[in-house]
Amino acid sequence: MLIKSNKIVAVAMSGGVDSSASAVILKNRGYSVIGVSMHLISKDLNSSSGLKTCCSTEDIIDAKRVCVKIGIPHFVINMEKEFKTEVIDRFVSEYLDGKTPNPCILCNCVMKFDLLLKRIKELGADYLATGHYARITKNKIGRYFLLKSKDLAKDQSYVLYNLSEKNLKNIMFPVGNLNKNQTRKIALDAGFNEISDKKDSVEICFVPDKDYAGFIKKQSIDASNNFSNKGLIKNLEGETIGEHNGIFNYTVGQRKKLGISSKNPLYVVKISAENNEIIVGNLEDCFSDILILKNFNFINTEDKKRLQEMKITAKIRYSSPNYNCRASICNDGSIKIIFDEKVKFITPGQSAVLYSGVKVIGGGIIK
Amino acid sequence: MPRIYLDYNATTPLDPSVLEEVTNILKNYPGNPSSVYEEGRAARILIEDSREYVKSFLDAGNSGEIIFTSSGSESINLGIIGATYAYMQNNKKKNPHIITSRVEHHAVLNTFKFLESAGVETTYVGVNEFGGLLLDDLKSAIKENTILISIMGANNETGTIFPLKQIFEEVKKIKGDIIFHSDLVQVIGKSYFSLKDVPLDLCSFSGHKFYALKGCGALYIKKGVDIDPIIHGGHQERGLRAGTENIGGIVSIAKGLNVLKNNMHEELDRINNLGSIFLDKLFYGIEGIKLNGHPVNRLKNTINISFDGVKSETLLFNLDLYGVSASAGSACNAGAVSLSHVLKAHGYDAKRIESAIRFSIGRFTTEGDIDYAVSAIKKGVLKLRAGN
Repeated sequence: MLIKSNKIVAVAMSGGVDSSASAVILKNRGYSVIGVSMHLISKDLNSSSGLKTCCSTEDIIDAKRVCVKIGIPHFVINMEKEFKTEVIDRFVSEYLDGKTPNPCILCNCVMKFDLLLKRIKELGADYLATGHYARITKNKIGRYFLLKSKDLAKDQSYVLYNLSEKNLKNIMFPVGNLNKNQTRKIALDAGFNEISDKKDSVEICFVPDKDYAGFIKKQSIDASNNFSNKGLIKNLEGETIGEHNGIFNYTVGQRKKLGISSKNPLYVVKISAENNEIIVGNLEDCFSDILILKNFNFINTEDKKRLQEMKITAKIRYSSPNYNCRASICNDGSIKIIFDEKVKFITPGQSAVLYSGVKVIGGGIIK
Repeated sequence: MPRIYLDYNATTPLDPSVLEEVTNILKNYPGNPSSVYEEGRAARILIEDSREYVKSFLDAGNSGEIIFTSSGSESINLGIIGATYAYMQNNKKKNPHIITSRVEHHAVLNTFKFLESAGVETTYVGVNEFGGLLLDDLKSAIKENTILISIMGANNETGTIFPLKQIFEEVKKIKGDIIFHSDLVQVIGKSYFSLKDVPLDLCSFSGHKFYALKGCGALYIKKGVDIDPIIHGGHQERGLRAGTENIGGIVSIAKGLNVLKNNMHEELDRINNLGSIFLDKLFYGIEGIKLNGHPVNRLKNTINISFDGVKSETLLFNLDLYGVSASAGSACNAGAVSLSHVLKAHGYDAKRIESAIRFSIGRFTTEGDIDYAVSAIKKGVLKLRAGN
């Protein structure tokens, strides 16, 4: 596996096991490796939400410790301003608009594979590596493709659908061919006992207590945003059956904390930002066989031409299964997905990602 | 690859003779200086001898006392908070007002912020584009309830030297009972200072800026200046700083000053000369650069430069890869670089601030180091400009 290379790879280090193992793997392959960590959030914002975040000082120190131990440089890149405007502010405004965004997708797209990639190029690095579970392959004629990871249970290709063939050339996912136990073993063998025990981050890093509503409220008040408060909860017949405390407290599919008594469980079916209304219905009302995607990104542009003919599947959120479906391109450029069977809880603001087998075609945001 | 260390304003390496002295002390003086038996006495005398030496270095005579602390920051906190609290204790009905400059170290600025939360009134005086203090603004900021002014001797980021003597005298002319504190962290070891010349009420400094240990500092307190302790406990350090004394650190301060004094003129001449050569070579070798801070009234060891079209953070990282250590702005705990409040106070535009790097040289810097650094800086700057 040893590549004689004077190529420089910058590894985005979170202080976690996957990125730490990535650095070790690349160093063992003979690359010149430098570690970089993004400083995304300051203590002030931390304390306003009352909790630590995934990119906290402790994690950056862990990353630094790993780098010092394996003998590579480590740089902390201050991207706090960009994270605020590109990720947090957009997260908040989407939520206030009744959507349920996935900020990790924005963070990967804008922070890591655009801004950080540019910054590490300035450092003289040839490649950016991250600890994502996904694979990049190159065919005989030099085309690059994004694939699910070998360990399908760990696959993170969903959050990477905004990549393009152009930047795939500059990106590496060293753990994409491994399963989690193999990754842990690499970290353990390198002497990172504590790091190899770290839990995977599963929450939105800047809202670690999962209190999204509280976070949105705090951020909105800080920015003196005008967010609408109380409104009506209606059923699908348009009858008012309750009141809500601001639409940002709700997501599609939510069943708890609706404050309405009913003999059948009620679910949020739709959030109407323009009317400041929450529409609820029965579980059956939460199924649909169609969705529209905006801001769709094709990883390989030629897939655009043959999208209609392709046998594809779609994931409608990070943890959803792959549903069989067909897709077509609408006149306004948005993508229409028709599922073979109805699917549950299609949530506006979340991303849907299209696959052909294990290959990622691309993805967009559910309208 | 060589490592060229150009960050003496951040910290200095230990001088070998300081190391030798400290090693000897740590080995042979195990006692607690407060103990009443022989080991205690031996340690006590070391501390008191060090105190006397520091006083003589500053030409303090019998004018006041030295309190040893853990750092420049602690000294500054003790001086500013201690004096303000003591005033508030004695004058419960009056709300005190304190003044500093916008270009102080965070040790001063955040201490002021802390006191604001305790209800203390504050004023921050600006500087002109060369980093010169707006003395008229300072004078007109003085009010009936102004009790303390803190003005640094030399700026850590730009090296700009404030005319302390003049500022001190002007302030005292207006209101004689104002307590004048100065952060001398960057002055001691890089320039001459004497309390005979500027009879400050309080001044703070830090051992690791003059080749002594990290984790030790000192505060000078003139007789008659009332200070409340901020660390409570035993009666150490004249009752102003509880906690068993850091004997190694305290001795290292005295020894560091001793080494300095023995060769002060030659060393400062050499470093100042080398700093001028460094500056000349940078301006000769690289186009599109600007010197930040004062062109004349500055510590010659400190060179703060903006490189057109270059992001300082990126250049720093590139220089690190070439083996050159320098810094920019201030770094948070995790090591992320944030924009300099000092350069902002100069009124520079964002581009100039974002592209500023501080190089600072010292005792072990050679002309060969300068040549290597200049070519590394040039290489990095040209590469980054080509990439834009």
